[in-house]
Amino acid sequence: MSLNQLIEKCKKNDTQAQSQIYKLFANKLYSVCLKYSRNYAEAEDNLQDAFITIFKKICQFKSKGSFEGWLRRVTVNTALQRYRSPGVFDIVNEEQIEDVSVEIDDNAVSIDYLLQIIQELPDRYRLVFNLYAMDDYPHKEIARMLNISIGTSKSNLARARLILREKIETYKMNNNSQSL
Amino acid sequence: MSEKKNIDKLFKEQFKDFEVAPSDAVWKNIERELHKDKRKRRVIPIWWKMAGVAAALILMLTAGNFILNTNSQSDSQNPAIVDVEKSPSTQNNSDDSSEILSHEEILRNNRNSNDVDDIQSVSAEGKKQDFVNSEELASEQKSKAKQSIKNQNNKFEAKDAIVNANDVQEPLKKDALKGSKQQSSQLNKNPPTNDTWGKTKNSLAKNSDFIGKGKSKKGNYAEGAVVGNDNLSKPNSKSNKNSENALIDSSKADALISNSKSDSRSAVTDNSTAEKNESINEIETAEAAYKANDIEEAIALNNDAKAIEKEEEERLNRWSVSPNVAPVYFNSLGQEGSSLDNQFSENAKQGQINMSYGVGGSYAISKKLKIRTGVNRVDLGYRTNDVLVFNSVSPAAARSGSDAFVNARSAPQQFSNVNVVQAHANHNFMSSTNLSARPGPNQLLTQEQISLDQNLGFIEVPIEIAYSVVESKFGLNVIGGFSTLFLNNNEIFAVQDGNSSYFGEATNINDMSYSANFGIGLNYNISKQFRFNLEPTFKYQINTFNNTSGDFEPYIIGLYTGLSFKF
Repeated sequence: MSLNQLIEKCKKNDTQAQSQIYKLFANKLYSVCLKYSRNYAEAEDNLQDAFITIFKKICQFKSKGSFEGWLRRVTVNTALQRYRSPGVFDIVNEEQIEDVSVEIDDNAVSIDYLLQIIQELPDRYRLVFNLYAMDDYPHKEIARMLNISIGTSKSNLARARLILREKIETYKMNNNSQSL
Repeated sequence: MSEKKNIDKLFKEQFKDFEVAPSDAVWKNIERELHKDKRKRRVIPIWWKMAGVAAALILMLTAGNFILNTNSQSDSQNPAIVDVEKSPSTQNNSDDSSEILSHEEILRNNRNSNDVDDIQSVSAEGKKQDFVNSEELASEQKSKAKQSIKNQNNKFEAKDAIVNANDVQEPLKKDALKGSKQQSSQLNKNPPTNDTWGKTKNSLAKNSDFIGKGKSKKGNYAEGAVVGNDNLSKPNSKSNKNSENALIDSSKADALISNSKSDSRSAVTDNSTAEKNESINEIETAEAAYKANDIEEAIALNNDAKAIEKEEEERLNRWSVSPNVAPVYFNSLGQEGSSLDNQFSENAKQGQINMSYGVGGSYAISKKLKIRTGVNRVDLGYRTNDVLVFNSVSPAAARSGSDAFVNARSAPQQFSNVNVVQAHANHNFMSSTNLSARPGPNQLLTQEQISLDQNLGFIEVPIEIAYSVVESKFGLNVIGGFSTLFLNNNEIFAVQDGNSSYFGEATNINDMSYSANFGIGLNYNISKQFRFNLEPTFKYQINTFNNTSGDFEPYIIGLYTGLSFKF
């Protein structure tokens, strides 16, 4: 059965088709959730919420773009909703730092560790880093999506990079010292 | 050591093909959530049915009431209604058939007046004209059929232009041709049947219909001609029958045409959808170009998701309880009527303001629709002024009817709808408005002007539906429904200068009655759970009194105020 047929069936709330769609995309979307969430448990919660939204809103999918792209956006948005701090109360004035480009030694660091340090980032830093570095959203969009200024977005990205580099370097140091 | 690398790139590359399988519990939860939604939805129709039953009951009660009223008051309206119902029954054929009928009638009249010969000569002429016209029509119709085909093609071309698909044109033309072939085959069937008179009418009717329905407005002339022929050839009773058949045939032919048309239309839509699919594929390949739009969409979706959250929050608070209290005003729509007795029909009367209080509950079927019920105690008061009371000099004499006031019967009988207590048995009560026309008893008897206060109490059980028009901090609802009223208090007091004494009870009030309710609900949300309500409500009482005189149509206006608590 083609993907389009499956989508059409999902629009009619066909459980079988929904299960198929889930099987096709669950792994990819779970990886998205893992990057955007604090831990595995919350990632599963987000994945669950995302799929529920997907199946409820699948009628709104107008075959205009790729289905997978749409699924990803819904998933990212689900995560954003969870971790985006409510704009009105977000009056803490963060000290903004300049956008920095962070270079790092490219040798094998396990993907599990990379995921771990992403998840350990503060919520906003994690979201900004994911959106900008992984999913190619421009700062302007990120600012709008997270209800922050472009400057804050850039600053958050820079801080996220610095934190990540530091963690990777300490990790390497530890590994080196262990191996020595 | 490896080379230095941008940290963004590192992460991006590492996570490029990153896929992890979530635990099976996730799907189970999703399925359960989606399934739960289904179950929720299934609940709604049950409530809908109940609401439907309630609405049907209201309709039946009001309709029943109206029918009963109209039956007793004016029977003459019924035949008129029947006439109106019959006439618009069949729109397609009614014009022609009624024409035929009218012609038949005319014919009968003519026959009665012995003008049959004339008619026959006319019919002979009509037949000749039939022949000529049918031939003309046959040729005309062919040309017009061609025109209509062309028109169709043009229309399809126009549609194509909109779709921007030149490829679609050819299959469309084929379709159009198919349709037109069907038409023309119908047309071709007609000429051979021109041999007999009845059948010519057949063909004429068919042809005329083709012209009429073929969207070619030029056909009017031909149609007129056909109608003319019909009129002339009517005297033949057989031809009348045939023409009726013709009407049936033509309707069948219409069905065929419409089928063929719809076929070609569906073909158009098919083609256009096929086209769309192609364009969709193109769009899919050029996905990147749409990214900006997509993001917007995603944001919109975000907002939608928020809306869902809100909905879910509200869904949790389906039930609410609202104690309420209301000043209620009771009066009659008709001014000249009395529930007490015929003689008070024209007395001045006042509705009184009393209290109603109770508690109601509501269940939100959907965001906009609530079904509500409750229990209320309602007190109603109604004052009849200008009642004369006088002590009979001799009640026995009054009873015997030998007195000057022949019509003023003795106390126990003078109210057709009231059981008067013994204390007042020796008093005579009369309407002073009636009395003015009679010989003055005031000279003979001690008399007082009093008022009669009728106090009624009901236990009201409303079933209502509230539809919310505005939903924000301030809300606006439209409320409709009906109430069942159980009588629990029934007193009449005689009031004189502020002193009242128990007078009796009305005998014409049903223990159970109904009211049709209509109200507008205004509410103010104090918090998420508490809301202040103000509901001016009009309740038209049905069946409360079983024997009233004059035009007594009681209603209640209440200003229901209350607090409702959602949970």
